[in-house]
Amino acid sequence: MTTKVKLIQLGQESLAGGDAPAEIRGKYHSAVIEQYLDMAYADILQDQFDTAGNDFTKFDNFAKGYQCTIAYNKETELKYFDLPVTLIPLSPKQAGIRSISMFKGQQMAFAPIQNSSIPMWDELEAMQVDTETCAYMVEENQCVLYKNAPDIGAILLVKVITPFAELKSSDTVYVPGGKNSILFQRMYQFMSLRGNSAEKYNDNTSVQTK
Amino acid sequence: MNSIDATFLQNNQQRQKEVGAFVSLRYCVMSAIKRTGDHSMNEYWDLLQLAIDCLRDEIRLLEQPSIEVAYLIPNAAGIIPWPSDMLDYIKIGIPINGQLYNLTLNENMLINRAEKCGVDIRTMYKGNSVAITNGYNYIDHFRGSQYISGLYGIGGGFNTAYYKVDYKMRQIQFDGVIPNSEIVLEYNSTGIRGGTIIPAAAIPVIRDYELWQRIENDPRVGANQKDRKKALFDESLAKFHFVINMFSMQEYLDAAYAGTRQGIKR
Repeated sequence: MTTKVKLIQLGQESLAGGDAPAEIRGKYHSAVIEQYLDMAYADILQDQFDTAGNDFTKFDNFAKGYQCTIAYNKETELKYFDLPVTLIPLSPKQAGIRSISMFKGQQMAFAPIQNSSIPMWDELEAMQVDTETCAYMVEENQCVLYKNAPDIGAILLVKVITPFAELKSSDTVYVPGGKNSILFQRMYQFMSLRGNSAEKYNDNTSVQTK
Repeated sequence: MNSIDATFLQNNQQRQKEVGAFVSLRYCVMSAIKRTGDHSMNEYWDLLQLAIDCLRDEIRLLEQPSIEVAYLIPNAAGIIPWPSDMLDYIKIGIPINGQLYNLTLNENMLINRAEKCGVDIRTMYKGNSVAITNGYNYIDHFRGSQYISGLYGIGGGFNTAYYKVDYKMRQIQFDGVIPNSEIVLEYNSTGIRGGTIIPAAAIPVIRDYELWQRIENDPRVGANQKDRKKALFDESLAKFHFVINMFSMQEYLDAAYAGTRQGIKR
């Protein structure tokens, strides 16, 4: 575990030094490193989900808690709140959201449904039987509360796995145990994918067109 | 505090710590979520629906009916629609002095589906009957020149009112005289509504059903795992069947004493 800014610096150093493959070795701006680390980090998280087996407890470490307020959409006549960060599209469904609940009263956590499943749930009995658990779905970067929504203005506690790019510089980055080196290897892989891009070879001369 | 008070307090505290014998459906879902390893709410609705399916399809229909009673008044056409939670009827009768007297099934009754502008236009037939006033379950009658002063427990007996169940339309139609126009319908209900509670013995059945069904239609899961989950569910169901059909000690003694006679001591 380290802070985001330190991890980016480490990335810069490794790329400038001897560890990185020769074709990508060089000096990079920290914003570039951040974007590649963001991609590598999301991939490592998905690997963790795929290999979690029967132990998902560690994912709560990657999540950060945010305060959100419920608003109302007059057009859809549904309550909603804006997600505090961009959601990492992890599977199983909405795994990037670890929990949503009232700020006080975390035992009644909200439960997700898929956008396309509304006709199905409308016909089945689950939401008729349970009139307390709030059902929500994610549309773009909003959480739409479909059933049993709390009142407008209610304060929620939203625990979301924050994408690397949206962490603050001083935020701690939880890299899964044993994945530190893999994080950088993934970053190298993504950078290597650039291959013979115009960006790499174009030196702003017209040599290539001669 | 003297020692008696202390013991009393201890007993009460002990009682409060005990695990409930009846739990909610939500408890069964959480119990399944616990076993999946992902303790988030991601699969909550799917598992809750599976719990409902299990309770209705496996337990209420086959193992442990949830009996409900409804007091209903037929419409002008003598028809009562089924309650929405009714799986099938158990008894149809009329209440007299706190007892339920069965009406008679008449399969020959003409099914009425005549409608005009969405309203039943059949008129209830009341020609051949006498109102029950003295509590007979079936009316006195002659049969083969033999006077029979009441008939009990014989299917298709002579009655003052008859019914026929129209399964397709989910309704029951009546014919004859119905005292106070009130029908008592005893039926097997799904027994599922907000706050449904289920006995502890059913928890493993519902939980194992959920854990089996959540992988049953997943093509990525091997057939051996599906078979194993199904076997566990079948085992739980068999245990549940055993528990709910088990004699209590009192029932056993009642049955034993019923057959015991005092004889001459030798």
